[in-house]
Amino acid sequence: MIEIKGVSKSFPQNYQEENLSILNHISLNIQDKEFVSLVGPSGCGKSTLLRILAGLLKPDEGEVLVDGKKVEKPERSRCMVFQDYALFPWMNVWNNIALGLKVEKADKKKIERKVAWAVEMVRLQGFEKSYPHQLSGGMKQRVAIARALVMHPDILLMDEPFGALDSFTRMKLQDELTELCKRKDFTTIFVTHDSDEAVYLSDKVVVFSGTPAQVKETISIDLPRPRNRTSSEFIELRNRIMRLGRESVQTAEN
Amino acid sequence: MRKKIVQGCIGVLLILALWTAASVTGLFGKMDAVTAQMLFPLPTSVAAELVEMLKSGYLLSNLLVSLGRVLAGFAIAVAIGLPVGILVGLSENIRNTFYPIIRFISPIPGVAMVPLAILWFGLGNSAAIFIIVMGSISPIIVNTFQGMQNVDRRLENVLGIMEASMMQRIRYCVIPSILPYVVAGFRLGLGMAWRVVIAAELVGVPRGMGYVLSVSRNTADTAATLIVIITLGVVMILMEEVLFRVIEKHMNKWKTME
Repeated sequence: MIEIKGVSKSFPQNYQEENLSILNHISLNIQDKEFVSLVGPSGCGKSTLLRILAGLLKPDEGEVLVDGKKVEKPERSRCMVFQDYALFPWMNVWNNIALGLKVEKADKKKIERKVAWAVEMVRLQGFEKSYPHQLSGGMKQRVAIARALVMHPDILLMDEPFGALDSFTRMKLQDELTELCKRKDFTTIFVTHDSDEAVYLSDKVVVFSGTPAQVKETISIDLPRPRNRTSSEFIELRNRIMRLGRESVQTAEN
Repeated sequence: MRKKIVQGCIGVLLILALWTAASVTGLFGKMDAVTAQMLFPLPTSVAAELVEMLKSGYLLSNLLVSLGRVLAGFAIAVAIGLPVGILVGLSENIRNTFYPIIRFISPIPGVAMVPLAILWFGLGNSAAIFIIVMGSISPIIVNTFQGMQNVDRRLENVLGIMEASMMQRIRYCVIPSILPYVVAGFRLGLGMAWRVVIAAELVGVPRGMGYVLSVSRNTADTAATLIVIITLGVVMILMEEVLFRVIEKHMNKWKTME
């Protein structure tokens, strides 16, 4: 279980004495193997919260506990997938995916077996020798997901992973992610500003309101998978999240 | 490609023709034939002297002396400069302590170190190597440090999440990121090394290409000075093509066709 307890974070602003408060006493519990989306307008601090969960940022106040243990620094049990892929341009697909295992100093046989498995999971067979610059955005993100999967994380943190992709590729990857998560190997925390995506993928959607961010509402999505984007329940939930999101943009602007 | 080569050859032939004309006509009538022959020796007599110098081993042995000094000094400069550049980039404390000194030393012309080196080490290899190290180390450090500043933070975060050790970060992220900068630094450093070694040999460090230049000036042997100049040009091109082309080709594998 992940417990976020009263987390606050502010950043220094250029030419201004006061720091800009981004997160204001956020508290949230996330159950094991749950798929939770953090939804809110751009710049509302959901990515900041994700970085705090990863251990890449320290909160000013409050703490994050994973199974009762305080998050102090990044760990390989909490992998992160970034919007801009963050692949190593000088490594081919195989080496990018194998990197985490090499860092772990896993033996060669194990690396080969696991990388082959991950390549199959994200359907990149035949592209092992390609370099990132030769791949499309969707394929790059598949590599990044495979790179996280080989580590067998307890928690997968995804920071708007499909935000830079065209809508067709995005839907395809959403389906593939649903498929991957069916095995319930890990908890997924997924940051997005796309309410359709959030309803399609999540067990639970947490809507954030403006600056500084606060949890506005948590909505459980109990629709069976694979979900039908045109069903009335789906549309109703999506509209509700959209409405909440729009309200929080107005709050932020006032 | 073939057209390019032909055009390049035409350029060289034009220069040679102009040179021959100047030599034969006494700089187009401005001086008498004897002086002209001495100051502008015919390309053929330069070639004849080249054969002579090659036969006696005079040219090659002195070239090897300079080359040896350059390589020794440059190797030391790399061995010190590369780790220093990386450390300066990695640690803010080290950066604040040493980088101002490096920034101060780097614009000082390497040639200015020649008298100091001769005072400290006398007229010998040590003096030459010291000057080369001093002259070539700062571009290596400065460029390496610049590369360090351009290392992608996102990739560092990825390795952080993988719990990579410092050595693993250097191996998987730092070195490949800074390689283009380091190669540029090596290129500058090697250029500086040749400049200062010739200067040191001109001023009095015995043997080497600069020494040959100095001797030929004293004996009014214009052909020999020309031969040294041309030889240096050829050596530079070879170093450029052989050393750096290979490294750059390897780097381009992952960054072509964006």
